[in-house]
Amino acid sequence: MSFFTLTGLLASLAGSTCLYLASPNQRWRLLPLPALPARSLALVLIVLGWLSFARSMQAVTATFVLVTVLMLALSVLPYIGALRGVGRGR
Amino acid sequence: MRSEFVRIYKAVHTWTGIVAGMALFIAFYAGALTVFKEPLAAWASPPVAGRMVPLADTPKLIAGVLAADPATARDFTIHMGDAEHVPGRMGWQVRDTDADDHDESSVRHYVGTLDATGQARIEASHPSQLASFIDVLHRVVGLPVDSDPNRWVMGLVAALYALALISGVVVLLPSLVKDFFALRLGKNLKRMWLDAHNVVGIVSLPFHLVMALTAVVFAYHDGIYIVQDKFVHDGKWGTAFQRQQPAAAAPGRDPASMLPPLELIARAQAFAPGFEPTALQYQQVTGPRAVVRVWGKDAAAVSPRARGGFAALDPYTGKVINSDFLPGRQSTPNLFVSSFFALHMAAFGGTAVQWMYFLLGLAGAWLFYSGNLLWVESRRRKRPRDGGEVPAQRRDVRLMAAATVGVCLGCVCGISLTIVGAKWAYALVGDANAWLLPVYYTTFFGCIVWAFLQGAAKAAVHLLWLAVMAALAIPLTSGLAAVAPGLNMWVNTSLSSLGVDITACVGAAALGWMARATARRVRQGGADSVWSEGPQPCLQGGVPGVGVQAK
Repeated sequence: MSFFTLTGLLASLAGSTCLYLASPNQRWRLLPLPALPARSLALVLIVLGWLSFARSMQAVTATFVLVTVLMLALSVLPYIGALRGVGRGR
Repeated sequence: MRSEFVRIYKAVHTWTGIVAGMALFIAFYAGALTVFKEPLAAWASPPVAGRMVPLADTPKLIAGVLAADPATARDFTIHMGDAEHVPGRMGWQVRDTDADDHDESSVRHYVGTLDATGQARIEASHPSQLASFIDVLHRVVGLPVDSDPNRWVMGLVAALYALALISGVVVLLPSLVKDFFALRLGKNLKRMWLDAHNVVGIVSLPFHLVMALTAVVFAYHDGIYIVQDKFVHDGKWGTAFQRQQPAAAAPGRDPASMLPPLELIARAQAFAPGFEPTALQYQQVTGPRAVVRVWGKDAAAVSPRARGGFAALDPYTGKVINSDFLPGRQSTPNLFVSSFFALHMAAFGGTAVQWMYFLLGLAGAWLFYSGNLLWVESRRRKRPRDGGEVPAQRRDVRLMAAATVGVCLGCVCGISLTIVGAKWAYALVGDANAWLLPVYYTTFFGCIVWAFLQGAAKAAVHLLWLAVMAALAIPLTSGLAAVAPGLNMWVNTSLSSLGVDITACVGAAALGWMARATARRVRQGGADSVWSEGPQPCLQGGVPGVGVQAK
């Protein structure tokens, strides 16, 4: 895996996490992150993720990879949050 | 949106999901494994010695084999790598002319080698069909053969799947923003299963839309190509993928004068620098339309097929004839079409994307399983709040719960045992491929029968533990082969082959966690449910109102 693919993965995963943690339905933290700053940061990280992917692959491939990461991360994060919530007794 | 419209869409979503859900579970579970078709084939392939002729000797090998069997000139492949599942440096297939194009079971495989004196030898090979068998389960939703009628069944299931997706989104629209990311665990089990179902369904909707659309196209592609050929391409479609016919009375060409494979690869890489060739497929090399397809992958680009794409070269001059299917060098219309293949088959982005598709495939299987759980929970008869008698659950609900458990866990157990059986059958009886189908379907139908006999609750626990043992049997078989060579089994030590063992261990751990949680629910959960260990025999009629006394 190339360096830029790795950084793209990390940035898009971080962006997905920010997006989830800004949701009022998140169960990971006791309180959601402030919506506007967290969603703005999520957008920046996701864009950076795409730019990073695009350094190591073609634009269309970078777009497909980014969407794949987002779909997987945003599907899994609510489950992780729910399990953490159960662990905290929420 | 008017509530009566939502109710109609909800009914459509429910019934299309119920009709197609279990078939889709099989398609997605087997599909998730099919992403790693090559590692599975490597795990199941017995070691072969002496068939990987050095690349430098390949021109001599080709010339020798073609002299011994001129018909081979029609189509043969030179493999660049030496993975466990590659049967030899030079291989080719002979297809039964009456068999379906997609049916791999009737294909005979051959390899060409050089003996100690440098003479070419032709041998029949019997590569493991394990990975192809799992792929067939994926492609035709659990049916045994990839034939036209079975693909049409799959196309119908995929059409229902698309309908379920669209209707599900419409049902969810009124609460989409409010409930986005919501996964509420608690006493309201229906709410919990609904959230668990929705969160996967809505977030991975693009993935599922692509799968549904492409699956319909794959099912009916022959008909679509005929129409496309007639009305769009004026009958000229298929010059790239169609098997070439030998030109009658054409002057023969001397294959000894072809460029060496390494030179052809260098020409292809000069044309597309990021392209990593894996095989050279030669066609009609003694005829006037000789061509070599340099197959390979490019992680930076979209590939038109699961195995990658190819550049078509003249094997005598090295000139690039066609790059329509070369990753990274496709025209926009070709890239558009290739993108659908790539998005279905994870043919982009390399290994990282393959793992993500593996997990999204398993998440898809969970989507259909949770849909059935939701259907069952929605029809639960609850004990009155003031206590009293535990009501008997509806017979149709008990049957659906048992069918869900039997089919889904039967598929999981069946595939694991088939993987294990591929090695054991080879050791015990030699012809492992003949045992793939009996092992899978015996397990699959056995699990279904067990689920109906025992009821969903008990069977779920039993079958989950069976799934744990079956998954663990995969690495245990490899371990046993390593410590007891006398068993006539083998352990392949490539990263991809060991990856199968490691993934099976992780899968067994996950299934064990599910088995423990399910057993706890069955023992300690409310008795007014099909998931309670109380007497809920699903093959006996339930009389409403006549139930089990509350504990």
